Amino acid sequence: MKTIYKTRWILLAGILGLLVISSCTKEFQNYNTDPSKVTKQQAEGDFQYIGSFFPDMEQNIFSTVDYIYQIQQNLNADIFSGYMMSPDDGFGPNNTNYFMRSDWNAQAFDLGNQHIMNNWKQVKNYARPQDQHFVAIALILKVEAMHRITDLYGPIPYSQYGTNNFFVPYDSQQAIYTRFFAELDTAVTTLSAYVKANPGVKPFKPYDLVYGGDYTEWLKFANTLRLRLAMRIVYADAQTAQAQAEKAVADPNGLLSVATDDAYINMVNGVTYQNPLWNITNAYGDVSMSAAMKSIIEGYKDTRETAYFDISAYDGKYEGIRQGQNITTPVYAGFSLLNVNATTPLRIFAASESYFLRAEGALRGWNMGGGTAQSFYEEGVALAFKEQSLAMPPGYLTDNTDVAAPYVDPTNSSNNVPAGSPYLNNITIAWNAGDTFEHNLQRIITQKWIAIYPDGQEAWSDFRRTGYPKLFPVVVNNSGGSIITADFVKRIPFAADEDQNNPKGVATGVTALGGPDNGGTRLWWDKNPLVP
Amino acid sequence: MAALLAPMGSMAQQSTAMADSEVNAKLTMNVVKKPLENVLASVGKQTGLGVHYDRSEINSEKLVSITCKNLPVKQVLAEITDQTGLHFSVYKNNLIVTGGSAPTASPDQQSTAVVQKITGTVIDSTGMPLIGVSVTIKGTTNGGQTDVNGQFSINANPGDVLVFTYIGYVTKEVTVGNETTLKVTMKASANALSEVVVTALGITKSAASLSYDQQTVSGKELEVAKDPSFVNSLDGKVSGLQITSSSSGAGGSTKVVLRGNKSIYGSSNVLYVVDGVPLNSLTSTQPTGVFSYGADGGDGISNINPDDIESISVLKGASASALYGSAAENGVILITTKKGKAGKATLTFTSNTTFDRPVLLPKLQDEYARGDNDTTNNTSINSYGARQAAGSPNLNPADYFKTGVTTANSFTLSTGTEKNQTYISFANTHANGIDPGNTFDRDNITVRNTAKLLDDKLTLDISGSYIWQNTNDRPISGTYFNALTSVYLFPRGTDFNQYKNYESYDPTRNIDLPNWITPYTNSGSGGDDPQNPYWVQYKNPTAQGLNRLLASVTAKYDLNSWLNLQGRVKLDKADLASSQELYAGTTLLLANPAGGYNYSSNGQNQVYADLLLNANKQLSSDFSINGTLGVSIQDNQNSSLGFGGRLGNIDNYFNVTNVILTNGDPFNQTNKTEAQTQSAFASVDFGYKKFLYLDVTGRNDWSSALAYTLNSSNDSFFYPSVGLSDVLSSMFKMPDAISYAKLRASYTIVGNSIPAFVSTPAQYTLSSGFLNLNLTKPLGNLKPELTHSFEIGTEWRFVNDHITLDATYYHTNTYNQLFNVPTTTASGGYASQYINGGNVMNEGFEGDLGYNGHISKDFSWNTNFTFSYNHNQVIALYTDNTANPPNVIQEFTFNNSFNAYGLEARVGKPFGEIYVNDFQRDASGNIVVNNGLPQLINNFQDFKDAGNANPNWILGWTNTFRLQQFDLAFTVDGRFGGVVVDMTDAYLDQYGVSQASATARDQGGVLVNGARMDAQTYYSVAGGREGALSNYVYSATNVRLREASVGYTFPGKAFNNKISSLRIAFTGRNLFFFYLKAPYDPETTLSTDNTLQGLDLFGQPSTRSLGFNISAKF
Repeated sequence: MKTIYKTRWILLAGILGLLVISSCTKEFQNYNTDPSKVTKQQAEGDFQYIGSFFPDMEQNIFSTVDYIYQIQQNLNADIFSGYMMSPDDGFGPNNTNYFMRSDWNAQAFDLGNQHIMNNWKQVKNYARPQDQHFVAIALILKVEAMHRITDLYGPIPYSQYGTNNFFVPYDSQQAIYTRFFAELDTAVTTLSAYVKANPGVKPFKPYDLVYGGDYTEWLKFANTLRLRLAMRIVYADAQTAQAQAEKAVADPNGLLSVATDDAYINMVNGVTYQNPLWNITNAYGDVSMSAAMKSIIEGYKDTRETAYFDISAYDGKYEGIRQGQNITTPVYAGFSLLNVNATTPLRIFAASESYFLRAEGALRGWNMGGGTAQSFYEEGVALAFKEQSLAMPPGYLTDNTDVAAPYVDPTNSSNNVPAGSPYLNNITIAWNAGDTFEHNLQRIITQKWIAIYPDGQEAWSDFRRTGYPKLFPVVVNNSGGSIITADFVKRIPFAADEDQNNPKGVATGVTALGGPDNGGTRLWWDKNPLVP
Repeated sequence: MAALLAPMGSMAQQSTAMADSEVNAKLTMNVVKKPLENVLASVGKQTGLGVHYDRSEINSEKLVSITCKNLPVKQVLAEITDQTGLHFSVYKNNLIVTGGSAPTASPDQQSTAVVQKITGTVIDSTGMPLIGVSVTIKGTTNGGQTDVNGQFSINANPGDVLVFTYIGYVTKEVTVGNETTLKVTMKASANALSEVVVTALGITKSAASLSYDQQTVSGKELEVAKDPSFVNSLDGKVSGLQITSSSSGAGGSTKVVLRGNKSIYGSSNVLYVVDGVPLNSLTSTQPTGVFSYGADGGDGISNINPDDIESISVLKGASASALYGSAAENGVILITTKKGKAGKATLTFTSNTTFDRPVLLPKLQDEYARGDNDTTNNTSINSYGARQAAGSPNLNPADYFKTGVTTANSFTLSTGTEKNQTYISFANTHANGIDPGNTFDRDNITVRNTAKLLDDKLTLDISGSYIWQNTNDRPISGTYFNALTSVYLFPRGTDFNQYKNYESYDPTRNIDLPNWITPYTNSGSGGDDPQNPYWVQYKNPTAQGLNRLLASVTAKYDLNSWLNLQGRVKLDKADLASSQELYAGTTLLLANPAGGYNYSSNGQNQVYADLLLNANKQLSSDFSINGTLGVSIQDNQNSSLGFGGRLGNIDNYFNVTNVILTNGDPFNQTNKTEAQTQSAFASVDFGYKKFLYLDVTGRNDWSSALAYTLNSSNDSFFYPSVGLSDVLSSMFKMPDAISYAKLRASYTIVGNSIPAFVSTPAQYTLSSGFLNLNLTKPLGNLKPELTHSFEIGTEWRFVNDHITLDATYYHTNTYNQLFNVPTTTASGGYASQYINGGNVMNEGFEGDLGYNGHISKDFSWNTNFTFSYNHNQVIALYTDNTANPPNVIQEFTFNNSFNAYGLEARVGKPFGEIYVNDFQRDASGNIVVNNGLPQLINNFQDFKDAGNANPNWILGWTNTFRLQQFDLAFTVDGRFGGVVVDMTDAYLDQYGVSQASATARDQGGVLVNGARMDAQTYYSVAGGREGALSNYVYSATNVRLREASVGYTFPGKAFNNKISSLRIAFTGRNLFFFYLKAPYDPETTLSTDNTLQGLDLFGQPSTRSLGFNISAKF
């Protein structure tokens, strides 16, 4: 009796317990699903699961986020290109004076993988056969963004991207460029066919910040990009370079050729951002005009100075900072800041570049589609002024006397670059058909350098390839001997996080690089015998 | 004490009473459904005892059935108790029957009987009178307390049972006979044989049966010198405990680690259990970087009212884990709160006021002026100018700080009858921090009612607490939004007073703009951008609010004398909101010209319910069993919504509609998580002859966070424990000097689930209306973390329990740790993936040596010395099995935004190893100098191992002296070993404001490779946030006078007994250091996370508190 009484309670407790357990664990998968994140199923409507990745790709060719842009490009290529210099005294030895900081070197690499390769892979994996025009755009954006990455490091993981978590091998830069051309072939073929079959149809419009979904513009972009890449490798593989350049020019879809072809990351489709250079300049106070820029642009009495920079708080004139100093005190804080607004959209490709590329091609004797080196050069300069909404000063193109001006540092005369220095860009503006190849090349590249500002990445690549325009060497070289001051920096070292996360991959990269992993090793395409 | 013992108290008393009676008679009976009075008559006849009971009090007609043959009378009576609920005691050959079934006699009714005045004295075993002992007549509300001489008087009838209860002493019952004067001796419950402790889930156990180390601290001990966050008061009082408090002022978070850090990626923080229910930890976001916008927001324990705490037990290991659950992996702090007590209503009022001043401020120079390169320049932000002109003003940081004032007032009211007790408390805490503008306010209200119903079989305990807390301008670590950055780096030789008026009208903008050494539009000072400190405090104000409701219902039903069923539900609902307003004029780095605004709200709800079946039975005279079967469910829901960003057109309009979209949505935080754990568990404690105990537990958890794990038998895991305790002093005859000796050992495994959503990370996030791929790679093959823990210990008491010694050795290994491991970004765009692995070992020993002595009637001294030693080692990290051959990872670096400081778990080293930037050195050890500058390593892989953030030894020494009405208490504690890095110092050198930089300049520069290098040149590299932090590593060893108090208690008669007692005390906390080498208090921390340890960056200085405390009892 007593026993039954007690057993009943134990049974009751047990049953209650079982009820608690068995009734609820079914809900566990529900509980463990994050309700505030989007699932693939939710993203299927309106092709979001393909289209949605494009704004992110477009905004990460040049990152639209200030602190990422700053390390991705601004404190690296924007300095190495001779455009700018940082007045910030808080960085210690850093890339601007050739101490290649491991934490800075990783940014561009990671950005490319996480925001370009990754998004391309999403599009590629999910697109159906009838959606291949999306894949074509993704390929163009991938080539545009990733050539900027390989041009920083040399070998990078490309063909084997996404195959493993902790070991992904690097491709040689030559293999990567070969792949770039093939990928552009695919993109142009696909898009041309789509445009022919569906004239005026813009399914990409809701996702396109650049051309509003206009595939004909993207075809021009792809061709001009091909021309750029072709010229990049001219000293490493002249034959491919010429073939690809002529192919680009011959394509019936044409090249970027008027100011409205300029590729901007527009603030449309609900995307807003603040121009990262605005924050880097105004909020961080981390970048100013460089000494070389002041020397060239003022030497030419070039009115674009007003479009590019503000007068300095220091003395009411434009003042640039000599590059590669150890800045330990805020003496340069008042020098000329960049003239940029928060709402200025980022430009990722200037149409004027196509003329300078064709001018160089013509100078090399390639078939650039009718026109001479001179005509392309002059059209390019004219378009570059138009792109800044400025009238070209009268006589600019016929100015055959002005060259870069000597540089005077108002705070420290030891930084001066006096008249007669071999580092002054001593080339005149006016075309001279009778001049040497190198002088005319210097002309073309110098004007291209001014035109494509502030794209330091392209300008630095041209400088490494051609040696033009002539720039001032760093005042202080903290590379510990790996970078020769007079030879300038050649690349940035592989991303340090890769040493930890992909050590075997980095080893393949070093092999493919063919030299030590430091800032003094030349890239595959960097083979101009005239450049030290 | 009586209330505490309730679940077992009646049993213990009964058996004690029977044991005293020496009745050894055996009974034979065979009755079926006979009235009780017949049965009792039969008992009386067979035993020769006179049976006494009150017919008006018990139902003598109740039918009982007993069949027995030669059964000890004790067991027969127990059987009757089972059937009737009546209790029996033997007094002078009389069997007295008492019971709860009849209505309690009212005092009036009783007064009609033969009332006599009983007076007496209550003393302890040393003859010392006990003051404030509660004396009640059992079953009534009549009673009183002993006075300062331990004397009481009460009106009672012969046969009444007087109940004497006193905290820390075994409750004593005395039946009134013919004497009118009594002398009652109460035994301290420190006698471990009779001591009963509260363990997991509120289950009480005999202390002798515990197979693991559990140390109890009474609420009184925490009141020596109060801290708004009471956990800080445990410092030095418990062995094995390491407390590090956040440098974020009153009510900040506290990192409490027992027996070393176990979990690398997870938390090593202790679990708090309040009245048997796990407390929601309410962890707030901790700072992670140099710039660090995130302010600590306090934690779940910091807002509990210390006056509601009856006692605290610290369970140091993972032992008996079945009852505590997986969060107990890191040890448990068990809090028992007060409840109402039967007897006269008691009202207490305590008021505590302290005054805080900063200690350990940086040493700044008064020699050189603002400027650079030995040239004075009043636009510079550095202090490397020429020598100061005579009489130049120099800011002393102490002048910036105010005297902080913290006041805490609380009332508690306790009242009740034997059947129903009520407890009400209200507390208000208000603090003005040492930083201008920093305030902290908290109100706590608690109401609790305990009732016995249904013939005393049902105990119902209902409790509700409401907490309202608001903090303004809580100190923020890091450089941004931190006034101290601006104060410490303020240029020397410059008049700070001109900036006290921190804003002035700007006609071009038609608003007030900051008045400071640099215009707000001009940053470019190395990214530190110090603003006017008053602007930071008043025009970048932060506010953090908390509303928290804790409600619980516990119902316990006694099925019979040894079996009860208990059900419990507890709700913990916390709503937190925080905001930061950045007024127009705030540096453009952080806000737009119109300003900026951040707001977030967060709701954290926890529901806990359990059902326990408890059995406690003496199986025979030798064997006893104490067991629990239970099920529980815990559900945590967390939701947050936040927005923030720069303001659009309207200056200082702090509203979401004015926040502009920049790189995404202003709603930057919308999260919802839910995690549920369901458990079934059993614990059985076998006792043999009250000296040998075997404790076996097992628990199975079902965790929702494990859903979607590949190994899909999946969301369930089991963990057991076994323990053995042997009271040697009861087993063998020991010398008289040894009053108690015990050996114990236990082995435990505890599992701990993974956080929600880890096994199934969402595929996409949304930003600016477009999808982004989640950067965490999905990986379903995850297992719960497991800690294997072994401990062996011994407890000894000597000379009538006056000297106590406890010592424990432990060894734990924590496996299957969860890591978020970075992958190569070329792995498919993922930045990281989760991996299980690792083995972290902790071993050490800890102990307590105490003396409690009543040296004379007027003088007593209690002292306790605690010591702990812990050795931690990372045995293994994780292995990537996808690689061929598998890739064995040897180090794990915590992700933070510091460039010159890193924290690692590295195989073969203790966890928490600090790595810092250092100079490059050549083969002969000289610093590499290039272009006149010393060269730094800068590459994390090559950083210098600075040492470990955690101490090896922690020692504590507490003392309490009583001399008549005076009492004096103090605690000294010390930590030995470990290092800290003071990044603040590095900044001060870089800016040239430190005394060190001036001294270097006086000497012609800093000695580098035997030659003097210009100080500014040197410190521009070596100082600052990215410099050679190897120069700023200090020993963390320190010894301090943690707290002290001196008090005087006025006896009730000083107030004509209108007040029963009044105590006034002067208190002090953090009084001074006996030994300290670091420039800041190494026991404060930037973050209570594992990510940042042993690092200071403009953290609020430690404070010395002096104050007074008044407590009155009515």
